[in-house]
Amino acid sequence: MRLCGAVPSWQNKMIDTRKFLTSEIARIVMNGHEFRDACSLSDRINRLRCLAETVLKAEYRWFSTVEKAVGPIEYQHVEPSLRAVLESLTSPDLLEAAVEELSVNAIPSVLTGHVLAANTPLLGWSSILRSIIVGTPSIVKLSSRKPDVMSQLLMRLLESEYTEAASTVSLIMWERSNAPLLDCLLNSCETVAIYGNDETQRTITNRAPKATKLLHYGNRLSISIVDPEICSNSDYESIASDVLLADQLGCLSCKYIFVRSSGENLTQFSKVLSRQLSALSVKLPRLSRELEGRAEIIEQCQLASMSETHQAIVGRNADNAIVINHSKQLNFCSASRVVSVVPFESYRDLLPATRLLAGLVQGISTNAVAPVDFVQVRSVAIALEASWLCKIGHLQRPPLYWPDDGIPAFASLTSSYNGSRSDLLVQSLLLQQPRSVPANRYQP
Amino acid sequence: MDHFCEEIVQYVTSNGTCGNFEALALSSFERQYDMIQPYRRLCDSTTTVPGRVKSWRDIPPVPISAFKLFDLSCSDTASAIRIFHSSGTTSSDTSKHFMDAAALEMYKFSVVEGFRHYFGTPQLPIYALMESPQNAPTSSLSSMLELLGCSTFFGSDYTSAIDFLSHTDTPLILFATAFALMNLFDSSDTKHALPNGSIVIETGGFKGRSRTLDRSDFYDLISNKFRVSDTHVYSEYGMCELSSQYYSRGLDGSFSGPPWLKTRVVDPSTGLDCRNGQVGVVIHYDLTNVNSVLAIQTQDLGVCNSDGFTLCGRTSDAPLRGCSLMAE
Repeated sequence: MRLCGAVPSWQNKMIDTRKFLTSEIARIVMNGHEFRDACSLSDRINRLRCLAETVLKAEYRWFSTVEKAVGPIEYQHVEPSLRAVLESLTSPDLLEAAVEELSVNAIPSVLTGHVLAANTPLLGWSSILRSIIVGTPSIVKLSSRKPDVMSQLLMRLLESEYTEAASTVSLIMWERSNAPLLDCLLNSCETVAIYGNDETQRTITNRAPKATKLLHYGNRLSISIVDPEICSNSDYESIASDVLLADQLGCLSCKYIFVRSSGENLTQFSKVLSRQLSALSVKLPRLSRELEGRAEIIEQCQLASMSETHQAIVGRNADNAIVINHSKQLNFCSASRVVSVVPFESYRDLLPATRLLAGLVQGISTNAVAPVDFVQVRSVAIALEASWLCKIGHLQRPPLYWPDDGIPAFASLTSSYNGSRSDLLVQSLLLQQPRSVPANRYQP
Repeated sequence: MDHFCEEIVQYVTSNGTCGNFEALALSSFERQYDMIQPYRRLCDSTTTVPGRVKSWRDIPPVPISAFKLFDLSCSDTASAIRIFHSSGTTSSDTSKHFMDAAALEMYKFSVVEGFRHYFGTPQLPIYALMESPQNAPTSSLSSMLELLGCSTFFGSDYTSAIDFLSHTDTPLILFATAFALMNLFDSSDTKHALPNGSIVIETGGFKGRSRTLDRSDFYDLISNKFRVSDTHVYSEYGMCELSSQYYSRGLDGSFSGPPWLKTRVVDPSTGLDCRNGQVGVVIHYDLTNVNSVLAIQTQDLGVCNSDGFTLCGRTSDAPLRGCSLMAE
């Protein structure tokens, strides 16, 4: 079956009883056993590579299906990241990365639960594909707030091109706050990946049995580290795309831009970036924002303007707002469409300038090219526990095998994995060894 | 009180017949721009500065949350006689409205004349289901009621309140926050018919806290418990950052204010006025805010109509605020 033409209406399973959920779990677990027995790690990766290569072919016209399903505006925001995920499936590095993490004796979790958030369209992709690579069956609880069309499209793709893998995945959802069903899910899974805000993390942590391994993917943000002296026009466009892609939602959205500046050229940098954001938002139109959201953005910019240490540059219709922040406090920018520009004088000052974001940073993009500068950026990435370090313009296009919040992307889905994120950090500190940043993270 | 304040007092006490709102507002803007640095920076950032502003509608409003972050005071904050606080839970999320001697004097005129503007000369005794100014010195609501001559503050002593309300035969005005009323109703199953001609003025709403009730159900409950018609139930809308108040009558009534208090409902992105019936963000222009800022952009969503405006929610993530929190 080719996935062209109109996408059928929303088809994930609406779960309303424990019995239904239990039988769905039993089906998936049984299929998972058969799948693991039948396919080795390299088989699974080869099949996924074939799938990706097929889909990436222009004549397959799969991307037009995506566009029809999610609409042209969302499509333009999602497409670069989607291509990045598919391209990483075709990369020879994938097998290497998986083998590195999965020892010969690694046993996949009996069942992995994925509790997805509504604000990041491709969460389901990375989470489900990693599970397939590891060989653990997946029960995927979708957000009840917004239809997760992208996860649905992945399922249809798997059903079409890799049936055996599709049989190990089930997309489910239920009406909000159904404690018995959540308990049933948490009791049935060996591992649960939780994507969502602090409240979601807390709720699930409190309800999960002690034996269930929880992988926390909480609220995070991304940053750029930029030297304006070496910024070309296309660099400004790249920085703007790090900000604008995915409509400034999700943890890979750039919220803070640290600019090497003693202050004089900061306004100029911000004005050029503001123009570039406006220009790019013509190519990448924004989803319309509710009145409340627009009011919040304007309010943040007004407060910044009132402060001695801040300056606001507001784009049209409250979009593309930039707040220049000369203070040492990284506040004033909770609105999702406000990006904060923060100066630092030299790369040696980066760490103190960014320290307040420790533990909150997902990705870092940079235009630092001099090795001595790059070493500093890399140290900051390690100190902030960032997962993804890349050149500007690539922030929202991560590969599938990035190190994943400090939690090993593949090993964390196995029975042998016992470490939580904090355990890993403690181990690093005890060994006095910073976590290494794999070379494939950054291609200058 | 300086000449400028005297002019505003004259405008207030004449119920807006002596003086010109536009001229007074522009003078006030110029003075506040000169004396309040954070406000000046806000105006400068958009070059909306005295001389360029020709109408009160174009005076830049401060976001209401600025009262939490900045000391918005024309005079030295050390000279404040009273500081009204919002009902936040920690000092960092509490608004502060500094009242120096002139501002406090102005506040008295505004409260009393504003009440008279809406209800006429007060003839009924006022009782309040809230803390006294002695117990809540930073509450603008308690101060307002003291200025209106409130005879008894019941605080949270609902037993005494019920006892009094059950036995009095003199028509009265009962001022209460929505939460206090709910607590009062919870503490007694019986109905307490108020004497004929009594009115109930609720304020503060539910603020989204531990319990909420549909506004229509709430008004039904008040009517039923106190045996008053819903046309005798009023709502007061004020905040510690304002020196004046709005009132509305009945379930469907619109909030209207005195002549020295004007409202715009705007689209926040453009700053342009919404059409009647279109939801926008509510901005207040309170001429009697002489020591702080007269133009305040709230986090309340509202709709303008020919009688005034109605409220219809809050902007996203707007923190809960208001005097109802004191009664929870």
